[in-house]
Amino acid sequence: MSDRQKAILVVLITTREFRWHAGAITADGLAVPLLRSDQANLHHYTELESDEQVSFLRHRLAGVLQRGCDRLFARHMKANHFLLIADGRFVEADPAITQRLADHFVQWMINPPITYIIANPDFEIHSADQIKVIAGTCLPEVTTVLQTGLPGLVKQIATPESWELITRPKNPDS
Amino acid sequence: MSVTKSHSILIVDDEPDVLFSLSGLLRRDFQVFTAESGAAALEILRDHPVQVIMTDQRMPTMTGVELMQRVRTEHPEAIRIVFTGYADARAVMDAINTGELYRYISKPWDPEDLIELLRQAAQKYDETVAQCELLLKLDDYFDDASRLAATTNSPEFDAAFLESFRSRTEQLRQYTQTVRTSI
Repeated sequence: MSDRQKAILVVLITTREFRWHAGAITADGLAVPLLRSDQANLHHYTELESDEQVSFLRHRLAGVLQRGCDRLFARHMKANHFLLIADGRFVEADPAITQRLADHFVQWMINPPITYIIANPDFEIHSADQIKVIAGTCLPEVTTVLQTGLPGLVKQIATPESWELITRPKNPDS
Repeated sequence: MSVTKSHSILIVDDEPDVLFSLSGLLRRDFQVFTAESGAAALEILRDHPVQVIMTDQRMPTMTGVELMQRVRTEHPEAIRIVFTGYADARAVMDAINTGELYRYISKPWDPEDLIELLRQAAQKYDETVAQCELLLKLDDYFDDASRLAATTNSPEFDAAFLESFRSRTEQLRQYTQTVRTSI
């Protein structure tokens, strides 16, 4: 049994800018900004066929989750839930891509579990009914932590220096 | 058998920040080498003893599975692990069928679980080396035992005992050969 502090690892996906931020929220609602991408980090998927779009996004976001877990480990923390929160469906893509990607993550990742949520364009969640789960389960304790910690995490997006910048790999398939 | 920092891990990934992150995670427990390509990995393997090699699957020029096929031929004793961020069933099958991998792991993994997995891999390496050593030494022992059984004239050993001893020695030699081919 790990003695590390449990936290929800949250990836905020800004679909119109093709970028993401990854941070953590502890059980008591503390927001911990961790990583951010460069602009247009996810843009490569728009050049791909439908199946390849899912594959690329799966790979890129799995890498984000991996880096997030590594950064939490360095802070003596451990992810007990993954939350992918997008500000909408993926743009310039097959309309089904978002659901396919979300279903894929939920089927492949069971420990810790993952939930894919679509939020408002500014990631604001004031009440539980604003949480639109498109894949996975959002348990009440996760909803509570989201409502208390997410605003603090989102607020820090305006402060780029709070996040470690991860630039895209030279090879888009890497 | 305890795993110590004397065990070397080689990590292969074309993304430098992944190598940096994994090095930071593992350096307290292992001696860590890193390579940004399959070719660079093979060069390190030629120059340094490495017990466990862990590679990304999708890399330009040489994939993780292709690298592991080379490693299997050139350094068969190294324990081989492939990781990927893709859910690529074909790559998984290829890796298992042609690379004879110890593990195929998918991102994201829990860092604590990864350290434990690599400890087990290092221990597996030690066990495999010990088994090979044991088999080599048993070969010598069987030769000596057979020679002794053939030459002894001591009245302490009757013919039935010596025949049984010879028979058991032969049987153990056959078991040893069977075990050797399975390693």
